[in-house]
Amino acid sequence: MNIVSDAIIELLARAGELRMQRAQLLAGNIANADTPGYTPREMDFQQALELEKQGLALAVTDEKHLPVIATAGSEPVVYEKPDGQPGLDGNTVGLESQMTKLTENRIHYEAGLAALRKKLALLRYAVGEGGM
Amino acid sequence: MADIFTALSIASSGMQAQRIRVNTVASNLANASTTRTEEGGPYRRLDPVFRAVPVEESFEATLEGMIDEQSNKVEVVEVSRDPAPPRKVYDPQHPDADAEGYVLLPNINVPEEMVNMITASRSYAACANVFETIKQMARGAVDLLK
Repeated sequence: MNIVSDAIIELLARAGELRMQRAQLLAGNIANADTPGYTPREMDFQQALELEKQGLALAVTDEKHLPVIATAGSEPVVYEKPDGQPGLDGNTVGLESQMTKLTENRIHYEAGLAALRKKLALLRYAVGEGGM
Repeated sequence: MADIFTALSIASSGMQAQRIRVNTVASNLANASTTRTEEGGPYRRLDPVFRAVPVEESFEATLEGMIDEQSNKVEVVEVSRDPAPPRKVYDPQHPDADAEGYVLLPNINVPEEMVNMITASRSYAACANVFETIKQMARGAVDLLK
């Protein structure tokens, strides 16, 4: 068993990456809050991470099992999603809801980081022969 | 691929665009009664045109064919002159009045400019907040090394 890169650490790291990607997307929406005709972008975080989990966690315990191809590095699906009533200029960015999404995204990101920190602390504890 | 610096540059593009907008509002308000300009005639209202542009990708990402057209920066493509006709006001005392006593004043509506200024400053603040949020997220990742 490879303790240094176990599935949970990898999953947490990938989730952080996806969160950062979503933050970038939301930043683009907020920057374009006054651009005529702009429709905000959104990505399906849950689905992206679900794919990731399948790729990482499914073990082949029987020879008849089909191996699951690791999907690490696959890009999440991004789509355009109007957010609120279009203004006179056709812009559909809801500034408040985008800010809310960004905050929510950040909180999830930080929760992931906290979990990652705990995992790393355990490793550090192990390599330090218990005396930290 | 998402990286912190791209996200930060998107936020700063928003701040930059809004600053340009505030500059044009300042110019419009300062010249709300200017009747003489270099081009001749009264001052005409300035209006910035915003456009969404896909973020520029790093060299490696382009090489790998991973062109990211998902996130957009914002850019001021041009600062146009408002084509609306100038206001015609009867003021025979004015040095620029025509033979019938009418003066051509800039096509500027002061309340409208004020609203524009407030919207721009709110949007600027939103982008500054985004910048701060992303910076904190990045800092959290860096702190894992501690």
